[in-house]
Amino acid sequence: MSVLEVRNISHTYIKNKQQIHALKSVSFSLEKGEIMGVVGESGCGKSTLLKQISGIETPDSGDILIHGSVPEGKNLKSRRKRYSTMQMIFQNPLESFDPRRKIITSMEENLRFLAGIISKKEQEKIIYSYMEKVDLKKDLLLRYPRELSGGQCQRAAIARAIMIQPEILLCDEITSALDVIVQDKIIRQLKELVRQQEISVIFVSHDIALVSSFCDRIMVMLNGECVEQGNTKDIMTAPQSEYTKVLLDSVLEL
Amino acid sequence: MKNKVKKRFLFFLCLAAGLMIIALLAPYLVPNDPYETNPLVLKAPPCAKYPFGTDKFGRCILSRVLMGAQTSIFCAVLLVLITFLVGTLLGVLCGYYEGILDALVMRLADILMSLPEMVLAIAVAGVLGGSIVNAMIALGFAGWTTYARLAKSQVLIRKKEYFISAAKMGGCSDLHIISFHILPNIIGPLIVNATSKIGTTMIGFAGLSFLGLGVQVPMAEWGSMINEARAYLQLTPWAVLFPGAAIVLTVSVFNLLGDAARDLLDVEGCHE
Amino acid sequence: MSEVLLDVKNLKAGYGKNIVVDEVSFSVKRNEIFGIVGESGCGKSTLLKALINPKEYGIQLYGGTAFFHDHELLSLSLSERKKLYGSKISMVFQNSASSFHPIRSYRKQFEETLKSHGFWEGDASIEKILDIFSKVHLPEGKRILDSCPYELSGGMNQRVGIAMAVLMNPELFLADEPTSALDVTVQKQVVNELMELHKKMKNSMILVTHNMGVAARMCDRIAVMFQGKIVECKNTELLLSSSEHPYTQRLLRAVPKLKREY
Repeated sequence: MSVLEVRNISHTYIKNKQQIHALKSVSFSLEKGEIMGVVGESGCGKSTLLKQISGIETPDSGDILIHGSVPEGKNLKSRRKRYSTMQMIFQNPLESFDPRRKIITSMEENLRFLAGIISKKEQEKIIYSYMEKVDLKKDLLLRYPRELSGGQCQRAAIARAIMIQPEILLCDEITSALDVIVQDKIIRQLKELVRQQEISVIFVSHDIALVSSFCDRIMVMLNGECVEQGNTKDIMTAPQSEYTKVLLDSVLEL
Repeated sequence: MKNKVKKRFLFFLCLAAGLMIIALLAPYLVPNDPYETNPLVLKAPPCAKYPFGTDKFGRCILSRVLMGAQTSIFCAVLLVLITFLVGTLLGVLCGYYEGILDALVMRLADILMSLPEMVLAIAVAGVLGGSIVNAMIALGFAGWTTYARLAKSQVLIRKKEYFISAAKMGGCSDLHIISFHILPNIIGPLIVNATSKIGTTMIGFAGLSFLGLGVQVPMAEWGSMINEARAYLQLTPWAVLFPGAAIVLTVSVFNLLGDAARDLLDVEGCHE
Repeated sequence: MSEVLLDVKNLKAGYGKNIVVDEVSFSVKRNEIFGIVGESGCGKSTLLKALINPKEYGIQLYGGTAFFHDHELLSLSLSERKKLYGSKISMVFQNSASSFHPIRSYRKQFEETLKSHGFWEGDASIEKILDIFSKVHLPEGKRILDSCPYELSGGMNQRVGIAMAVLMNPELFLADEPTSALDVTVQKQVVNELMELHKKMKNSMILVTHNMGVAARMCDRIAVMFQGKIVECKNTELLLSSSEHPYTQRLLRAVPKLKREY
């Protein structure tokens, strides 16, 4: 059974009194340990898609199935159940931590509420081991987000997301605010970690070159529609849709 | 730049604290009994025994001004505190949950805000009758609205930030998110707003007492002292002058404290 | 061809005690596109801003010279600066829409700019503007002239910004991340248009960018900046094929590449 299945979800916004079809009947499924890239330009609906899957927003129509069942209810218990299998990493690393709390606080919350680990000692042990995995020093944990660089913060966010052993990881443009050298390092680390833990990943990005080097499968989106999806190899070597060709052609290679 | 602003803030904070200490210790500081009438020194001008002179009943004005400070400052601070807590709580809940509660509370706030504050307070106090508690209810009746609005707008801004989504995905309960992640991030501007409201509330109090709707005679309060002495302003100008000066001084100090707090917050915001 | 247009020597600049640009020297030849690449915080934007107007951006200069013909750019008086910039030297930034008034028509804004430089020739100027619009592939130039910045997309605004910058045929064109705010497909188009424009107008250009791909596509020579210093400066092909500095090599390796081989 697929870890995640998305069936015909559609979503419409009202902006300036105009209806905007952010998503038009998008479907796909994600297998265990699979990394799927979603590429498209701004306004193509790729971020909206992640919001629907993560439950921040509810789609107008269509179903999202996790392990074959629709996550029910909006109460605290069902929310915790949902997020212990699904975590998300955001675009702006500095904003994804509370500016008034130390980095460690937010990690402790995740462990306490989602993994049910209450003892401080056990929490610390897990946090330290994951900080090591993302190559960050322990003393950064006691700092505030603004005292970290963007790259450090994003790595802390990765640690926070995967330390509760989720099955699905949603990544929303996680490196677009970072420099290329940092991006390269983070992507390598992330790939190693998700392979180790067999996490399924949805990797949203505007950079098709980055996606092609990281993902097993690619979905190309345009104006809220999925124009093409398939294995990375197929899309890279024999793209079917015109738009994919344009996108590939736009990559300025060295 | 930052140091200068900080120093200014601390200066006014000390002044305000000094005023509050004076008010607190007023019963021990007064040179004469503020309620003792003395037919021998009716309407006496300032002299060694009565530095601010006496009123038409021969009561020491300095003593009454000092005792009045207690009523004025503490009523104002207490009222601001209560309205601040109520308003902020309502605003945060409205901002976080939106929906029906939000619509109801905000429309009520709109209605209350559409009426001039003092007119509304006079009407409420008039219906309830004059007493300290009633004056506080009258002023607090519409006082919470500004806090509620500000809190709501701040929550709406913060709610959209990633770290709130991250907290939701961390399994935090709504209560936890509001109290640990939202409130600490928005409390700065709210406190600044509250501080700058202390001055206006004090004037409101004095105003109601002046109209006889607040503190009742013979209790010492600046507004009612001015009202009592108003009729023979030409004979005993000091009886109006000193309570009036006390109002101006205290309100100025608290207003300047509010301004300094705002500047401090701005500077810290830039720093971040 | 090899005549030096801009010669920067030992430029040292920063904010307060922070030295952001440290003893940077380079020269730009006539009809050359010179690229300055580096990561955020390396000082590339400060360098460009120091050349544009250090005072306006609060940049302090600690030494160095920058000669453009006989003018020393770092110590120009206000009136000299006004005369030189806009006509002889022009610039375009990351977000052109924000350098225009959002709710005034482009026609009025172009007219104002030309008048203030004394180049306004009525209908002839409009013709010229439309001609440049067509060069940057802006269709329906007349409609665009009558629209306001807020009505157009980011890519369109950026093209108008470029058109405005090259309108008076400047000798030196300074571009700070001109394509960074754009979507990838639009970025490619704008890069191509800038190249075409360059071929036709034969001016010199300094391109500041963090995007190695854009720099590689456009520039004749590239300088790599790292922590305020230029660590390597070479012809583009040479830099890509045989970079010497370890930082350049790291930077080039980190650029994501399309995975075509399987």
